[in-house]
Amino acid sequence: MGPKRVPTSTRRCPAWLQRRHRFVDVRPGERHDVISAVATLFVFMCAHGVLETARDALFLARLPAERLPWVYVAMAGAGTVLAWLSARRRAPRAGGRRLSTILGVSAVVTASLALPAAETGTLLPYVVYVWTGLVATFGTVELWQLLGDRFTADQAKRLYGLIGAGAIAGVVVGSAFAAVLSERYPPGALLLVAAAVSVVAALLARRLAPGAEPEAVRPRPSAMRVLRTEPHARKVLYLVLLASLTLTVANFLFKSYVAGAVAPARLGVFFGWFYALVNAASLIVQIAFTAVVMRWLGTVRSLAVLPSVLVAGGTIFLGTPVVSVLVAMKAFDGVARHSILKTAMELLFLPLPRDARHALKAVLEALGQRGGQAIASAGILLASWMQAGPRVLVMAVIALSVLWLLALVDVPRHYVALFRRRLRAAAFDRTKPLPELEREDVEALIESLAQPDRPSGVATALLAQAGWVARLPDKEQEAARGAARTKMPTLLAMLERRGSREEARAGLRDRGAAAEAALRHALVSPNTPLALRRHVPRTLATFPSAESAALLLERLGREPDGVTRFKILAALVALSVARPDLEIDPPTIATLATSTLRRATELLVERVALRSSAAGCATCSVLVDLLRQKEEHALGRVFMLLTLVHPGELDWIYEGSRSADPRLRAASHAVIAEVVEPPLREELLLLLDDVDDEEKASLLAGVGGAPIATRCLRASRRIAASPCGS
Amino acid sequence: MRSADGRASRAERILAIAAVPALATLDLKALTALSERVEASQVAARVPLTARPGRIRILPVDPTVVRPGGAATSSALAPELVAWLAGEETWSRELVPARAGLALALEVDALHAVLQTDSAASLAVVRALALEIAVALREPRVAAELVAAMTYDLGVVPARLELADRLLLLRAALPFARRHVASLFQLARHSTELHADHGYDLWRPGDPSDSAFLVLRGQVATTHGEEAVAGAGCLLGIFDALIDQPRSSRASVRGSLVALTLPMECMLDILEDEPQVMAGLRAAVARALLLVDHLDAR
Repeated sequence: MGPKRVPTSTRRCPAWLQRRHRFVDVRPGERHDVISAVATLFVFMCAHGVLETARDALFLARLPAERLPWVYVAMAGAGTVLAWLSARRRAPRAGGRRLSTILGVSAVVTASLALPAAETGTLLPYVVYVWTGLVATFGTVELWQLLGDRFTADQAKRLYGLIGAGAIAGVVVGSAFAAVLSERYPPGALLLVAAAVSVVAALLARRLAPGAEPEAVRPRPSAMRVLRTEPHARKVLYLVLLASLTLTVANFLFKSYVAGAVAPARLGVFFGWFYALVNAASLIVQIAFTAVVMRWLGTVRSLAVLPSVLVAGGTIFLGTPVVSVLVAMKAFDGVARHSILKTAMELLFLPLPRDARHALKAVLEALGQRGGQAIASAGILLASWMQAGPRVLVMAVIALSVLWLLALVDVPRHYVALFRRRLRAAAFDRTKPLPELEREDVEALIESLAQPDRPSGVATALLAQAGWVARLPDKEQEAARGAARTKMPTLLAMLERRGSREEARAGLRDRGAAAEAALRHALVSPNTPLALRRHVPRTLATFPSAESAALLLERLGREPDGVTRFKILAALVALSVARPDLEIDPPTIATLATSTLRRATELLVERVALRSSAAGCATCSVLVDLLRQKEEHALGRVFMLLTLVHPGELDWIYEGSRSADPRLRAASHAVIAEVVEPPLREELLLLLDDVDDEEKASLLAGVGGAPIATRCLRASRRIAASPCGS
Repeated sequence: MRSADGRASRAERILAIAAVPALATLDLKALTALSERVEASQVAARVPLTARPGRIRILPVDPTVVRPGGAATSSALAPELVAWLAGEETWSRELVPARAGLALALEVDALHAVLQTDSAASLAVVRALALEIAVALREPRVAAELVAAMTYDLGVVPARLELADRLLLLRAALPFARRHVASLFQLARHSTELHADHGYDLWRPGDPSDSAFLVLRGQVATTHGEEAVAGAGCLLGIFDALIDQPRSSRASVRGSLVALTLPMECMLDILEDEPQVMAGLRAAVARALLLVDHLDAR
């Protein structure tokens, strides 16, 4: 049975949400890593901006644009060889030292290419083009891998926007600098400048710390094995491949147009300013929108932004073939690729275990990115040979973009499944059946029974469970036999006492429909003692009927006793596990979840107000703790309610969200982000956020609007006016 | 019995885990889950085991290191386990097996998963630790020191106790539940005030262990063989109540006594519904066991 979706309001991005996702949200302990990453990426991409301008100017000034596909093929070949070499090496936890070496070597090679650049040969433009692609690919892969090890998914969502902005700012500065230099100097000089800037990047990279995630004890898996066993890894490969195919064709269309429209001598200036402007726009998007889009649309839906725009742009071009549409498509590609697309793609890798991530990334880059370029290039060459015009290539862009969108359809399932797996590995699943005993197990158990100093109970129980010795008397069956002789009112009364509760439950189960009716009456009747009523819901859940579910749900809204309400909810969860086909009224559950979450928010806001208004007051500190526990209870109930709406999807999420391990907390948040619908999602994620209570309360006060703020103000005034108020 | 490739079989790993008293009362499902997350190796006697951060080392059973009850102590078999349960993480201590046999390195994450997500398993461990303490309490010197360690400053105890007073007293005497005010409120509501005169027996050997007592005023002498005297702020009878066995000692009032009676039924209800209170109690009982072991070693 598929998940039952909570009915939601129209999707919108409220003002408080934008405020919540402010661009710079660096928390204590993260500053050094973030500054190092931003600085390294800024300088590295600055060098890349200069190199990219030199590359395009050099190539298009000496060779026709139709030769570009051959360069893509050469890049794919060289990239594959390098990726294979990189995958063979086990990545040590060396922090930025490896990246520093890559950048240092790249600086030397780039500088050496500057010398023959003054000559008019046609080989050098090919070499520079391929070299630029390789440096960009392996430098950024190494750096993002390092960051992927360093940060959890939660941190990545907050920090990748800022770090990515450093990269884009670098390209903007590098491209603008290259444009200015191109007015006076030939492309060879730009290569020397790029090499010098790379040296600075290499020095900065040494400050990057190694990842916090421990290395697995097992040998690192091969990329092929990861691709074979992880559906999510295969999905990422398809996405990288399709993105590469689409963007290569779009890029070719754009460069063909530029080569025909701009004089060769002005190409350096044109590309310098074009890249500078596009990347400046990309920087604005990164700063102002990427974090909001990520949290509002989620990681996977964000990946649909660029192909959707390409489909729209391509369709417009087919209708009205204006060349500026191609430029606009390339400009949007440039804007979204390094902001939204890059950030979302990096987040897509995070649920994979560290070793799988490392094994995969370089290979994905070679097979997906460069392989995509190679296939697209072959297609472009074929189209040129067949003398197909730009319309055919635009149609190809549209078709590939549609495939890209289709490939995204079941990515959330695999993406969330990986996070869920991480959470399940950190939990104990009592429902898992015991494995069969092997021959050596039985021999060991029998040997153990013969030794006087060994505990025999476990060995006997294991052998009995496997059927090797007579089963121990089944306590439940014995209890049921004893209870069969007991009258119904007595059985119900026995529920009050812990010692006789299981026996009573067994007896009631034995009585069937009559017992179910008696339990329903006991739950509703005002004459039922509280000590008994509290244990009725769990007992009623052993009769998993639609009527019992309906009654429990109805009582959930009316029951005055908090403990009984909690037990009713637990009974509903048990019932939904026993009968997954039973639909427990999703709209009612959604309403209850929303109101309970709102209650948790109110409790948090009141607690913070109380704490700040009554610092030093001993009695108030008791109230603060009381509010905290009630808030935790409310949050726990929200998760139980959500479990009813999303059966099997939110297992262990609550435990994970309270874990001391930040990676487990991040995994819980990632599952919530994909499974729970807005507006519940944002409020829930905010309540679970690691940010301090004061900030959380100030942000959440905006969610409830005036009522919470007013209550909070009233509470503060009351406390301040009381004798113990400070 | 080794498997063909020389590794310990699953049953052997389960038996080695169950040999540690603190884990012995876990059920088969919990033991099986843990057995899947251990590394087992045959070790020689008197050769130190390598410390493994994030893993609890379990030594081969040594029949010479036993308590009066007969079982080997948890601290002797797995000292890192008791320390970890008490909230300490010390992986650097030297561990030397007294005899050759099967040693295990259990993943802390696996044990954490079992205890965090299964209240039955968690309660089983609390009970097992309490049982070890109850056995050790037969030693009079240990009983006296433990009583002192479990006595908290209650502040001024009002002459007439309102519900709020009981709540504040419980908050002072049960530090592991201090932040769980709603749970303490529930316990305070179910607690009763007990006034008793000199010579009154709070319990005798064989009485059911269905309550714990928080001494508010006066003194109580508990007797196994020799006396240990508990004063105001001491929580009495909790270990017997946790292991759900009849009392094995006698507790008599000295002078006049005012105490709060805390029904075990209510405490267990709270523990079942509040994993954090359970975790706090587990750590408190493990710390008490560390103290007992420390006294034993002295």
